[in-house]
Amino acid sequence: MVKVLQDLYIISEGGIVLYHRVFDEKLDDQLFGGLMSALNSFAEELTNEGLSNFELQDKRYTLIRKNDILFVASSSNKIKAKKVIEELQLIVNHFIDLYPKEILETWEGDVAIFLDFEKEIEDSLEGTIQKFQKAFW
Amino acid sequence: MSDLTFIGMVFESIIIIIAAIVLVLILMKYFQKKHRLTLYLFLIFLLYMIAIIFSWISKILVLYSGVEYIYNTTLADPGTLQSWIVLRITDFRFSFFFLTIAIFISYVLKVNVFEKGYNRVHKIIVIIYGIITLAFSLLIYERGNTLVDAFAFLLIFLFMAMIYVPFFTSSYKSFTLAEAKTFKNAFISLALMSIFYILVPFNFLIDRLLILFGGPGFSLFYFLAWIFVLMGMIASYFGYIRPKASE
Repeated sequence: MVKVLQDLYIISEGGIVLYHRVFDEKLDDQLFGGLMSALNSFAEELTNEGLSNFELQDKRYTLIRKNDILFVASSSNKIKAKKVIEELQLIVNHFIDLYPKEILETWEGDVAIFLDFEKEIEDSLEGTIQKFQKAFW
Repeated sequence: MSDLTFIGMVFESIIIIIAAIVLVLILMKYFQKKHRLTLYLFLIFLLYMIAIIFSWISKILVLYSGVEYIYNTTLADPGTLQSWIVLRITDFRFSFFFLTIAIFISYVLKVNVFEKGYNRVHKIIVIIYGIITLAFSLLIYERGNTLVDAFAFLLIFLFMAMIYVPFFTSSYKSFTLAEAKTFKNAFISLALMSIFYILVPFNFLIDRLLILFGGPGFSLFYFLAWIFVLMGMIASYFGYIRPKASE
C-alpha cells in the first residue's frame, strides 16, 4: 500500500537540515529547517512541549524531537495521526541507532555523513507510487 | 452451433489483435524502464495472450480441422498423444494452464508493488492452489464430462479472485491516498482492471454451468466474459502504460 510518510526532514537544534527527502521540492530545505526549528522553539516557549503537528490544506506535518534533533514528516491528513507517528518513530529510532548522541556531539557540520541514511529508510519512504513510477509510469 | 463457434472465433480474433497491441506497448515500456516489475507485467500479458490464442485455436480445430472425434463425442478417443493434446486444447485446458501461471505472476507483481514482502502462509496457499489448478487443468480430464470442465473453470475463477480481490483492495486504497490526479486515475483503473479480470472466469463459469444444465453454449455470458477481457485490457492500459509520472 501507499506508504504513510511523504517528505522527511531531520533538523539539528540549530536549524540545520541534516537530511531531507522531498518528493516535490518547492522550498529551500535549509529555509524550511530553520522555519521548523524556530516554530518548534516558539511552541516550546509557550507550552514547554513543543509542536507535535500542524496542518496545511490537506497535508499534515508531524514533528518528533529526540536527542535535540527534530524529525519532521509530512503525510496526507486523511491518514490517522497514530499511524504517522508510528512510522516516523521507526525512522527516529533508526537514526538514533546509526548516529548516537556521541557522534552528533562531535559532529563538525558536514551533512554528507547523513547521506547514507536514505538507504536505511528506503522501505519507509519508497511507497507504491514510487515503485509504479520506476516500473511503469 | 458451428455458426456460434464461428462468431466466437471472430470475437476472439478481435481480442487477440487488441491483446497483441497492449503486449507490444508493455514490451516498449519494458525496453524503456528495464525494470523487473515491468518484465513481470509483460510475462503476465504474454501468458494471457497465449491462453487466448489456445482458446482461438480450439475454435479453428472445431470449425476447420475435420477431425471428427473433436466434435462428435460418440466417437472413441483414439488415445494418441495427438488426441491428448487436441482434446485438451478444445476443452480450454491449455488456456487454463497458461492462465494459472499468469495469475501466479500477478500475485508476485502484486506483492512487489503493494506489500513490504511475502506473507509466508499466503505464499504457501497460493503455490499449493496454483499447483493443484495446473495439475487439474491438464491431468483431470474426462471427455464430454461438462461437470469436470465446470470444476476446472471454478478453480480458475477462485484463483483469479484469490489474487485480484486483494489487488483491487490495494489499488483502491492507493486511489484514496494518492493526491495527484494522474496517480488517482491510474490506481482506479487498476482497481477496475481487477474487477474485470475476476468477472472473466466468473462469466465463463456461468456459461459452462448453463451447458451443464442443457444449454447449447456460447451464451450471453460467454460474450460477456470476452467483453470483460477487453475492458480489463483497456483498464490495464490506463493503469500501467498511459500514466506519465511527469504529468
